[in-house]
Amino acid sequence: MKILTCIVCPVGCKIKIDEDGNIYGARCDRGVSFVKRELLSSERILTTTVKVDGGIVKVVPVKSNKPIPKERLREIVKKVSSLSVRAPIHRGDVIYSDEEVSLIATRSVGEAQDV
Amino acid sequence: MKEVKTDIVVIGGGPAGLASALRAGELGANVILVERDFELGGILNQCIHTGFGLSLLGVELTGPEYAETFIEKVLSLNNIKVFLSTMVLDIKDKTVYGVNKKDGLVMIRAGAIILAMGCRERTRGALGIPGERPAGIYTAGSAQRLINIEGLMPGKRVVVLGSGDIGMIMARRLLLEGAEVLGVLEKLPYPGGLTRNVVQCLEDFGIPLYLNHTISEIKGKYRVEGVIAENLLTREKFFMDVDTILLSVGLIPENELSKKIGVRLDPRTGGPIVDQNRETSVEGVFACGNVLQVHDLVDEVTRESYIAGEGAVRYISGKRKIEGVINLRPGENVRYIVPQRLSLPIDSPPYIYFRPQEPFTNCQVIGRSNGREFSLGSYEYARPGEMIKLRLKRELLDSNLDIEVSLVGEKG
Amino acid sequence: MDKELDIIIIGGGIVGTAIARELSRYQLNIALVEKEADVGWGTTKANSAVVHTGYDPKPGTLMSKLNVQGARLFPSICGELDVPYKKIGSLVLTPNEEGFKVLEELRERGRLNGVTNLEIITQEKLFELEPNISKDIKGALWVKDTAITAPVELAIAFRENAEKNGVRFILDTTVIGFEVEDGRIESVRTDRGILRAKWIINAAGVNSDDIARLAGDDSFSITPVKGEYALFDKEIGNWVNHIIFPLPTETTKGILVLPTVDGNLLVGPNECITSKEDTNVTEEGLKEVLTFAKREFPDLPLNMLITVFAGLRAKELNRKDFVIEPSPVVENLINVGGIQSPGLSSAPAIAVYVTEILRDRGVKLVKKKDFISERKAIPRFANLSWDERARLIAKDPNYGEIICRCEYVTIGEIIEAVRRGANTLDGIKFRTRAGSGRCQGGFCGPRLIPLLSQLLEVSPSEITKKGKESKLVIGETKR
Repeated sequence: MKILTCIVCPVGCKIKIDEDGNIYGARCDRGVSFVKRELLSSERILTTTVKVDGGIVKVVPVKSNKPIPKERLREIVKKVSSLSVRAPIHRGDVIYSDEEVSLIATRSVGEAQDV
Repeated sequence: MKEVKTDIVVIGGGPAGLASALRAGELGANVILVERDFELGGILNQCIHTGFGLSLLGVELTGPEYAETFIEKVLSLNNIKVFLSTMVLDIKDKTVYGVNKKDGLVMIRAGAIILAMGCRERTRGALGIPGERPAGIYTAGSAQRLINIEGLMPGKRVVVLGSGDIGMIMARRLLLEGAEVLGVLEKLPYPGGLTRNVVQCLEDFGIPLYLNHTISEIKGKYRVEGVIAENLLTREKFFMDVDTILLSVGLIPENELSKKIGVRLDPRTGGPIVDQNRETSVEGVFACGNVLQVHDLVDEVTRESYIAGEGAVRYISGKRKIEGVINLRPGENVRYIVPQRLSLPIDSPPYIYFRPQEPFTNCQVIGRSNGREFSLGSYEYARPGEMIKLRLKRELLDSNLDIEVSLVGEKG
Repeated sequence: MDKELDIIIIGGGIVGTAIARELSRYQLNIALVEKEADVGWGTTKANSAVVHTGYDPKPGTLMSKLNVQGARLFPSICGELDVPYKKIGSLVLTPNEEGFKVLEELRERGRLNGVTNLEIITQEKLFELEPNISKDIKGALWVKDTAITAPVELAIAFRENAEKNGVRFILDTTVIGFEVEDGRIESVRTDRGILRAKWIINAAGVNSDDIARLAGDDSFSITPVKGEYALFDKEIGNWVNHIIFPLPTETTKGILVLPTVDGNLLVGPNECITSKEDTNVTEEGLKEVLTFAKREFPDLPLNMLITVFAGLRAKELNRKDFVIEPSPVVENLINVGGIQSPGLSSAPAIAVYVTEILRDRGVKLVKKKDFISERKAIPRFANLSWDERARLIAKDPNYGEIICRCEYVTIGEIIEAVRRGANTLDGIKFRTRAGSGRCQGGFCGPRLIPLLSQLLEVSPSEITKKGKESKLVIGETKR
């Protein structure tokens, strides 16, 4: 038995799925399709930061170019933790790319003025 | 002292300040936007997660993307001037006194003021949580700034007190950055934030949510060495081995400046009492965003700030007339209503925002005025964590008498 | 650390730093050893900050003598050292007619101690002085000369001034033992090495009996008595105009309600015998303090609470007096223990008294010709006029950049605090007030960590809240 909380609307139905794949507790059809989608593949857009050299801030926020399987999120954050990029950066720049994921800057980072 | 004159001065360069300045600027007013940080965007810059803009812009953006969209628009208008790293210290009448490194003291004389200072987080001290006072206790927003802007990691083993949205978002963020998150404690029987965040921040990662729980003692002289968690129903206590405590226990509209100019506050919201144009009790002073009421969604902040920007422009152009007032009062099961009053004449029934006192199912919102009663809408569910927005009915306004809004339904 | 000093002072609280400053007038080679990373972090940072006039202690005690003398020294010392001192007066309340008898006894005790300017007032006058007070209060003893001050700032000022006059401050260093030979301390063992001096002054607060015992002296014993406090927002700082006391009991002056020199409202302390490590605030303790205040001020808005804290009083319960005397066992050790309330008020007089003990013992006290008696405080941007602010920014633009939005503290003040020796977040807080406002460092904390790291030239993970293990972050998120 698996229990998922539906996030289609604010109600938040606790929907149960038994071993045979039967679905209980959804108050509407949208909940049923939500659960089916979630069971098939539970994917999320990843957001994290990447280190910046010579910028007005220390890190630049990034997001994945596509939804990523949930269980891979922590691993990817770890993978890019040693990465660093040089300012200036523009929103939309591809900061990192491999066969699994591309990371896109979600803000612009100007160059630091000399302190 | 540097002296400048403008039509409208906006205090605060977060989402509310940006949107109200933008709308006022688009309508042709000269605007000065004052921001205390070194860049515009406010708290959005540290909200690197997604979930912004879906309702207003039709795309799901991260906080910085949402901010930058508006920053670019604001900077593209020549009639909006931005003062960065400038702290407003005082307001007298319509004159704003600020300070920055470059100009020293700055005096801005304006025709109208828009208050958009946002809110601050409730602290450990305000709750009086017992125990020692070691390092490692952060409000969720402070931790968010540390991690997402300064690139610094607050600790290794974390407990979050309070299930506000930022608390849950930070639980996930810390976990993704390699910390162990032992749980989120919530003193109420239901979560404080959005269901979406309960699922995507906690359930997705197996972070336990302890409802009806609180921290009854903080251990550690120098750095946090653990907390005693307490089940408020059974009074059972257990030790949690953590080095970091995050607090997500409420937001307080930041109205210290508003008070200086005599703006009347609503004790229910902690923000100014406003009319449908977001004009406060002080003529020509407007308020929008979290300084007015703590919002769930930035999209609504932007919408509300457009209204304030329009209101301020109407005020300086001398077109705003007030011929009467209708008060809006929260009735049964309604925590607060914004706006708190309506200035007459009204062209079309305005939207009102409110929150239920506690969770309800199969409920109805009822407006009463002059002994008459109208249903304003029915909802399958109403939660304190999710603001309700609905439009008043024309018939309620007919009598020009005060209106009470109530919520009736099944509790739970 | 090998050269022999004339004097080592153990303990950098208000008493130790006052002694250091007083002795720095003379041609002596002095060091002060403090176990915490800064001065004033024990009892000094968690008390009511009241300068009592001295009407209260039992006549004939050392306490009564030094209190009265200390209170008289306070205005000029605070003037010389640029530390806040506000003579706002205090009111001892009586809730019933019988209480007037106690007030009269207090007034008489004051007369015996040489304290004047005491007046018993009726309800009518009381309500005029304190409009928010409960209508159940019948009258009060008005002690017009009671003052408030800033104890940690004063300890810092004593330190800065003593340093300027040659005293060495050895911080973050704990005394762990003595080498005693023929009834004389030959050397002081610390966790950072050995120190030698002709005279040792033990001003170690709640730990002073433990320090004496390390030298084989168990002539007195300290009982730590905890007091819990609640601090309220500046918005209700003017809730009271005076320092409000209840009728005193045998052991305590009771729970106070008073404004602080910074404009907050302070309530506390209660009283609870505890251990020397325990500065826990408890649920019951906080409730006790707030309930008490509510009885005197029924409308006190409790939602204006900004923080709670607790401190320890070092009480000598057998003697019920200060213990300031040469050790009866060790020839070159002077104990300064049991400095409970009114210790703060007495501190300047204790310092003079200790100096006299040294003189009596044959220490040659030759005044320095170049003694510097004055010290200037760090400019407080928030308290300046617009003109003064403009001048300050013109001189140094860092005073135009605010980092603490609640207390309006500028980067310029932070830089100056670091220059004067602050190296922790609490050190910054006590010198500038950054982080002591209503958001309790929520806004400035994350900004101060990188700033301190830059100013002190260490990595952010080395920055602490209050020294030792109190690290604020574990490192960078990205490597």
